[in-house]
Amino acid sequence: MSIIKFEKVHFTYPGDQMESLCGVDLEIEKGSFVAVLGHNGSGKSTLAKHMNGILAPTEGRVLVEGIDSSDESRLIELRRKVGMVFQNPDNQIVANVVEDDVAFAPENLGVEPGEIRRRVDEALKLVDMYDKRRHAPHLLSGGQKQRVAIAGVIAMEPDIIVLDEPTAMLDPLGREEVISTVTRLCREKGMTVVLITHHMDECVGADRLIVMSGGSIAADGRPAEVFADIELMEREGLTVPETTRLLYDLKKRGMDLPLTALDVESCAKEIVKQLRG
Amino acid sequence: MSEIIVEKLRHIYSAGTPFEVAAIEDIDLVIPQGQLAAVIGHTGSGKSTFIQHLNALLSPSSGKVSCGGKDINESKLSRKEVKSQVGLVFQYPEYQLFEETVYKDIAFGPRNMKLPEEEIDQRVREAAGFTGVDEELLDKSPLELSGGQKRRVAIAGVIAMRPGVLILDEPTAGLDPAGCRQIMENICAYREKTGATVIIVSHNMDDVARIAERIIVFSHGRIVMDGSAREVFSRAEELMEIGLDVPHATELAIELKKQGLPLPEGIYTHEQLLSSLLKLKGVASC
Repeated sequence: MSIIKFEKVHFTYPGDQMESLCGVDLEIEKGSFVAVLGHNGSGKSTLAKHMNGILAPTEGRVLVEGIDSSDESRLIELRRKVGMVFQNPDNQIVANVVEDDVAFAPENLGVEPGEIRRRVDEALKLVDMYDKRRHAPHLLSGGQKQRVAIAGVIAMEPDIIVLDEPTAMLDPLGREEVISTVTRLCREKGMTVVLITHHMDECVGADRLIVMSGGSIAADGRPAEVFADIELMEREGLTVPETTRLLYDLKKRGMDLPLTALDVESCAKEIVKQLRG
Repeated sequence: MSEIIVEKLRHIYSAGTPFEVAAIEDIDLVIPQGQLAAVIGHTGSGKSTFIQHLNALLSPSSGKVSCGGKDINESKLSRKEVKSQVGLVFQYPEYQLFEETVYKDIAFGPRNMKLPEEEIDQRVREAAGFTGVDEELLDKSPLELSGGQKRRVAIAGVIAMRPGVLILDEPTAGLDPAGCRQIMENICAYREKTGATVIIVSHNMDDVARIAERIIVFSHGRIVMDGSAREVFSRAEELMEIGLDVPHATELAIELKKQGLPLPEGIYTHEQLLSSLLKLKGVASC
């Protein structure tokens, strides 16, 4: 069942000549983990901002659980269903104590105090920040701050979480923390996750990978299949994982290898199998 | 000549308070003129503290930093002089753009050096050229630019001072792959044309493996490895133990070896891995 539906969505930023989205048709399955890749200016952030009505289509429509994002009377309802996490964790934290920050959204929604307590504790446990609940956010690492931001979104109990380059400002450890957290939210809590990124490594564990280019969808499929089309990825100014790249170059030189062995272990297994004959 | 010599460098934050902590200790090294060195280490390893000592933004708690044979902390004047000799590009330098136009922003450094107007103009255009900032962008407001363009303008602002040593803290963080490649190429071209020393702090091991002549590894405030890419990445397991990544090619080579392939030590680029495997294939098919 699809939870987000784009119908021939066009979008042009005010004052721009060029369309940033050119007739996007897209359906996202409930409970799936979808990664969106694309170079700067490909329209991937614009796509994300349509998912909770930050932007409304200039033509076409976006439906989230049946709510039309252009229907202003239902905008609040829509935003309770779709939580957004942005690039810079410092811009998303408002309170002086971690748990107060996470409580901010449910407080604004008028949730009962007891229920707020329950949600805050649960959200912080889910992102593995419960131990730091009384800490000051500005003393946390980037990855920790970003996990607090994610907890703040989860405390609203949305069905969908959209993350717009959440790891761009983090170090490798912070990136891993964030990606494993959102993967867990999808796998264990059944949340629908849309991850906008330009780190191809982060897409490897997704159910589906969409490549955006010039405001349109250039590729859409399982990550292993999408990466296997190396020519397309290069044309889009994107890189592919070392595993796919190596399999591709070996295949070009006459070895019979599948390009879809995406993780290091299975890639190595295929190569060893070939060389041992 | 801007050879950098660091002797017994130590820096303590919040000295004399209960929060006293030694950020770096026992740092001894020489960076010859023209070298392209990478500094790696996890967050909090002391690498940023270290590079801030190289142009006297921080002064040593003890030890000495010299550039071109002179102690840079000798006097107020020397601390000032070194700032145009050693250019430091911070992380996310695009947040530091502040002028009305791109041109004025790039000209800020040379103008502070009290250079004549013609010279400033020449340097602005030259720096813009090095970093791939189009002429037509010079009259725009920095706010109108994309993230990648802003980053290049910020780097141009430092290059316009013609530093003999260019230090960049995570110059490609947050950029898309095409933007990363372009910035790395620009930096390498700058070094080739001017013979400047370049020091790059990076978490991207693939970049580091590809371009650096020397890799300096920080952990817990100390230098734990210092050598060529081949030397450092041969110690992949130690790197992973201190919480660092290794190049993707190295990771794959380790797995292939684990599964029984006789690959040589010290593989750190795609090309090396590919040619080693093709060699094995040749042997296998004979």
